[in-house]
Amino acid sequence: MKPKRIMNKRLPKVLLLIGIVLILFETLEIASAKIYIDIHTPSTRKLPIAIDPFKNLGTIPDKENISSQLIGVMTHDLEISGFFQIIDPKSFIENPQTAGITSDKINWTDWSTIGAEALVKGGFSLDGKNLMMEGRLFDVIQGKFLAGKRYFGKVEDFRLMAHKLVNEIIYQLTGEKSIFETKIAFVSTLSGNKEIYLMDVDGENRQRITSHRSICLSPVWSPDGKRMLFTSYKRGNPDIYLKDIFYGNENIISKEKGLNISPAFSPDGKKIALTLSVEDGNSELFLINLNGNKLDRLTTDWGTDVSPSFSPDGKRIAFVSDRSGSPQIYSLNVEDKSVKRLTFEGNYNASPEWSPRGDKIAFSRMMGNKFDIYVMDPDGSNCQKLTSIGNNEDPSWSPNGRYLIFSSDRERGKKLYIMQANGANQIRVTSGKGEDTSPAWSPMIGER
Amino acid sequence: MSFFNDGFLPFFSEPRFSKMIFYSLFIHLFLFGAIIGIPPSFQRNIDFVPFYTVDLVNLPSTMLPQLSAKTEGANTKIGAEPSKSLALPKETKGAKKSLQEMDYGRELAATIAKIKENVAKERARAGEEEIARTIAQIREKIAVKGEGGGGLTNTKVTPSGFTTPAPYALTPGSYQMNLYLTVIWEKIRNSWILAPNLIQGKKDLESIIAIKIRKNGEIVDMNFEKRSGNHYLDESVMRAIKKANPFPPLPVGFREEYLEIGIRFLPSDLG
Amino acid sequence: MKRQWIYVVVVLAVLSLVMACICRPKAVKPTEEAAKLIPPAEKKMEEEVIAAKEPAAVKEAEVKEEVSMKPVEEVSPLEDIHFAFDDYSLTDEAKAILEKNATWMKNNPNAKVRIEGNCDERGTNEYNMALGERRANSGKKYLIKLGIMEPQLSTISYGEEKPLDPGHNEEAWAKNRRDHFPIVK
Repeated sequence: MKPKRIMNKRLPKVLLLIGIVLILFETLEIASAKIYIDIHTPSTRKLPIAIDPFKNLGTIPDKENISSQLIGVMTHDLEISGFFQIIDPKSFIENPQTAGITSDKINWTDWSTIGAEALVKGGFSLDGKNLMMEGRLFDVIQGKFLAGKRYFGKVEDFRLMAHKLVNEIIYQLTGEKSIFETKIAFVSTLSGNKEIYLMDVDGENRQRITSHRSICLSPVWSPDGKRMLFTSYKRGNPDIYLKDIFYGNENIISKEKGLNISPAFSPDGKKIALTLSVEDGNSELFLINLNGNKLDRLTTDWGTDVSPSFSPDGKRIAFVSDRSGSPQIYSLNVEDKSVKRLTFEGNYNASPEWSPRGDKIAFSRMMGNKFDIYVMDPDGSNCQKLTSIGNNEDPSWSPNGRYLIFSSDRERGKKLYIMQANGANQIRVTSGKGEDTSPAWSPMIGER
Repeated sequence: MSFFNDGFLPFFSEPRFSKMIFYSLFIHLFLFGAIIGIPPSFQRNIDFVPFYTVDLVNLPSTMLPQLSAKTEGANTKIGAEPSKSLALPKETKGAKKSLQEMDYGRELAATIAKIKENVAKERARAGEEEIARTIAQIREKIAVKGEGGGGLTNTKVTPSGFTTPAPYALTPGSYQMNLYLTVIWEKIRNSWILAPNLIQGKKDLESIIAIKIRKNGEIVDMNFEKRSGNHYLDESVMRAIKKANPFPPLPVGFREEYLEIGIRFLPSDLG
Repeated sequence: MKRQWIYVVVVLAVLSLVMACICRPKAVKPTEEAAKLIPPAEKKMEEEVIAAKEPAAVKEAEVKEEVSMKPVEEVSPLEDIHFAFDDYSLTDEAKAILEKNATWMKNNPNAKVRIEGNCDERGTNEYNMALGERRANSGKKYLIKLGIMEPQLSTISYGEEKPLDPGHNEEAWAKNRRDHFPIVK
């Protein structure tokens, strides 16, 4: 009898409690339910940015139209960068009389309604031969000032100021140090002979730096950006010159009998890899120092070995060899000279360039009688084709590994183009007369 | 405690009857509790993508009042197929056919026509090569991920694409709520701009913003519920919410003062 | 009895109300607004003096604008030989021409001959220079085999740099894949 009694007394209590608990769980759950929405992909990848005409903050009138020139340089740079969609100035609705260049004087809806998310405002003032320029970057949506810079210099330096401001804008909005203060060296037939030129990334400020009146080829920057190697037929034979870019003096550092071609600087700037044919009449890779003394012979096979490119850690060299019967790309271990073949597709793979990030090698491949630029991993896998129109050759990486510059004949004649490392945003940067080839991107210049 | 002893005892003095009652009560309560479910989390997640799936169009706000009138006894065949979450023009054709089966199919068909138009415009604008590349990448990812685009987790997915929502979502106006959430999903997504390199290829970043939406659609509170740790991603999602403000008014049947939702940004699909 | 049941219901109702109140959906504690970007203050502007522009690179005052590179072709009594694409081996036709050239050279032992190896424009300049050198060496070896003395010969490669025909078609390319034999002093 007892068990039943206990059951009669306790069981109802227990069951009731369980019932209450369950009901409470349910109310708990309903009461605290919160809806979440997941979004995986943004609708746009380019940030809409507006650049407002710069105000003349000084008293001297702007006869040379510095404002629009500054905007022109900045707009072109921002387009090349590939991060931005530039808002057409024709759609600006802000009243220039009432608005200012500081955030308290900006009506944010004037800019957000036309679709801008970032805004650049600035001003300048002239003083004889001098120029002061200042630029301010704003986040339109959150209505706040992000960064500003002011520059002082000569009037003719306005391009450099604009490039510096662009680097600052890109740094603030992406965290990346950009390349708009760097230079490009290249070969052009503009003067009638192949000479070496320098230019800004946007194609402006072209300067010829050789006057050999012969054939100059393959410019290569030193890692400190102060010197340049190149091949020239000035003496009647292809020799390698080392030139001090800013002071102009040149020395021949390799003038062996036969070929002295395709030089490459090691990342520590102390050694040069190049192709010589003096020893057995066959083109082989050698290592020399800056005085031209031979340090090492890197290849010994019967094939032609040219176009060395060091990996960023200096331990490997990518190069072209036809030891298998056709030009292919190989990777050489500098210390033990062991060689590994990287390309197996196509009958002509050449111009290897190791990315400064070390993760990719760019090269050109001939398929169906035309050349295109490809990238692959340092072990030869993951080949990706980046170009498709015309003949595309001579790739060279930007120092931050984000961009490639190359020569293409897709429009009339050979001109230089810049694209992102994945092939996107291909933009021409040289124009006019002359065939432009063999571009070489300088090391990083500029703090941002 | 005394009332238990006094109150119940006489009632349950007959053993068999009381046993029956007890067991019955217990089983009822247990089943009731089990049906409600005791989930490990107290959150009801609607990870979804709208049932017609193209990036560019906002459902016109005039549609909502019309639909709410018709949803008394509307059929409950609304759901989403996860793989349709990615805006491939091909897939919207399939959605169009099944949607036309419903009473308000005509209005939706008109919207879909608009969507197709916008898709065509977008194609022209973006360029074929870019899209082909993107589509190829997306296809790869579909193949790899399967349901990576997210879907209605409280529904079962059948090959036809439409299913009944789970029972606990069947509160009055829940269909309108789903539709509303679709609209604001669309609006936020259209406002979200992010360059792929800013997240440097990391695939597991997550940024969550909690917002309160008033009846008139205005967002009154937006805060980071979770930061991803990537500054550029966090800034971009905050801007997206700000640009998307205000939303269309909340559905008519909504009784509380605010609708509180969390927006989870998971940029895992950037090429 | 009824009273007790009412009691139970009331207790349940109260308890569930209490639980609902306690478990009101809490907004997760909001963290502070979006992080501040650098630099924070509005008024601060960095003053930066632009470094003196780098010493000018060698600037040439005048730059002639001639588009095409006119190849300076030296007229020679010796005939060119031609090669197949990416090849430096001698065809029978080439060998016949070299024999003719050898005869002339033997008759003019004081004339020094430079063997210039050339390629068509396809391919990289660097690889083509190496190929041009191989083509020059091919010609030289055969001439030596035919009895010409080495001091009478020199070689150089111009790669793709000195095309005979500037055209961009197979016809032009075939003409450019050659060894050329100018007489030098």
